[in-house]
Amino acid sequence: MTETILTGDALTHRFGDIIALDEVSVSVDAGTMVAVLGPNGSGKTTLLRALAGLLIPDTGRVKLPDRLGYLPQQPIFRPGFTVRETLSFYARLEGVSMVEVDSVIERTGLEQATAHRVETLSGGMRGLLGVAQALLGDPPAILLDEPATGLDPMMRRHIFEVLDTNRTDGQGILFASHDLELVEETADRIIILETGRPVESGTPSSLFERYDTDSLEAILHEVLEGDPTSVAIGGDR
Amino acid sequence: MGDDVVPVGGALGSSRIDRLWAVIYRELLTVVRTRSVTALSLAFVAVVLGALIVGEGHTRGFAPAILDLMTPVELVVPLFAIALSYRAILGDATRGELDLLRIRPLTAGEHVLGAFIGRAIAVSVVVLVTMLVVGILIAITEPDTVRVFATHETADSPVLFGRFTVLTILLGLVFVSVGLLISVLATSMRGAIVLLATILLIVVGFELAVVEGLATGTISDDRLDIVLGLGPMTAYRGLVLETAVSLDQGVSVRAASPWISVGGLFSWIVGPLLLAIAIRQRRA
Repeated sequence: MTETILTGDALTHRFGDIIALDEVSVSVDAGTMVAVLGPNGSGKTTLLRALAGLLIPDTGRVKLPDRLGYLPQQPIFRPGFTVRETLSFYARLEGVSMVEVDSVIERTGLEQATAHRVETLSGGMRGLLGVAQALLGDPPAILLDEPATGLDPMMRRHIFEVLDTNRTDGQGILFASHDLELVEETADRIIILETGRPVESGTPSSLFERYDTDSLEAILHEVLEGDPTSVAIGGDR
Repeated sequence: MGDDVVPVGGALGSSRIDRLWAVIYRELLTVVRTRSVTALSLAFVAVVLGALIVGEGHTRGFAPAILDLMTPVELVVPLFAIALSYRAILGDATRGELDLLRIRPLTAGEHVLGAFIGRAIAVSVVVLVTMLVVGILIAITEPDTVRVFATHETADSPVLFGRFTVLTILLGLVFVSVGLLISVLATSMRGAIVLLATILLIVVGFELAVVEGLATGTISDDRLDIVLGLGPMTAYRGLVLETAVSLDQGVSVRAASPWISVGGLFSWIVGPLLLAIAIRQRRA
């Protein structure tokens, strides 16, 4: 039986009048990759923050492992520190050895940048550093908020290959993304959110079968009530 | 984390000391590598040396130098200490890096205490080096007759200057602690500046209230010791006058109760620090 590593049960959260999450339930099993899709403002980031324990939902329950990897949407690190120093700091908090830090640097392809200060890194390299810190210590569950943002296609593919290896090693991964091609290729399960509500979920193959298509984009157009190209705020509709 | 967030699973791999040291080291490196901190430190040295030279206290001995330096130091040490500390946690929060700390096994206490120790070391080193330079200048330029280590009243002595230095470092630590409180309370740089102004107004307001209380008789002479020990600046000033200045004159001036003032200063270090930990904990 597959072990469930992370669960969020009936999560609801409001920011004032805006419903950011509306009865969202999600679980991540060991060795699986779950993708959260949805237009901007659909509640993806709020869901990830709630699952990471960074936001206490108004109602609902989160069960998370003792150790967790988390990549925020736009990771910015304390300036004045090199890539290696930044990772060493986080490693030290986790009790992770420098050998493992070097391993993560190698796996994420940051070897050439280890001595560079974080403020001199490009957006893509900063994203890579963010992914690297999330992988430190091989936590049982990893939450990534748009890990492919700012990365070139090669690097994007490389990052998902790294995540795929982690999945094979038994880690449970949940990520929010707009990269439908990579989601199709990598996700074991997909959850589609709109204005904080889960409007569809399932394995890619079951969704393709249900909507009689082989394109996630077509499914999104079918499922989402609003215009997928515009920002929708919970409570507006 | 609230009751609705339940952690499950394995043990943590780092010790409390490891985590505390990691934060201290990070804060120290930040201070060393931030150019504005270097500029502030040089400005601090320049102001203190400038005050000394303008007052010519260095040509008359340690005690006169202390009297010359006391007021400028009272002004610049708090500002310097707050400038060095108010962004320690606020910077992490505004960058979003606080989230990366919150998901890790770093407690609010370890985070705030580590930031305090790191920034406190930096402030202490700058104050110590500055006072060392001042002390050397006094030793070089003052008359030979008073260049002795004396323990009895009536003689000027570097020991008095040593006490002044220790008390000034304590004053610095008070405002590092206050700066960290601002750092966890504020949610933006603008908010931090508003909080800083508010706290400075409270401190200055307290001083004015003491003067007013004395003038109107609300504060009686026998309670003055206690009242003076309550404010950080009045406690510092009282301690300097009591332990680093009055002895050399051979006159016992009852400026403050040393124990109450020491207690006051330590309360001003520990109080804001505990409050900062509690607020950081609540926000976690």
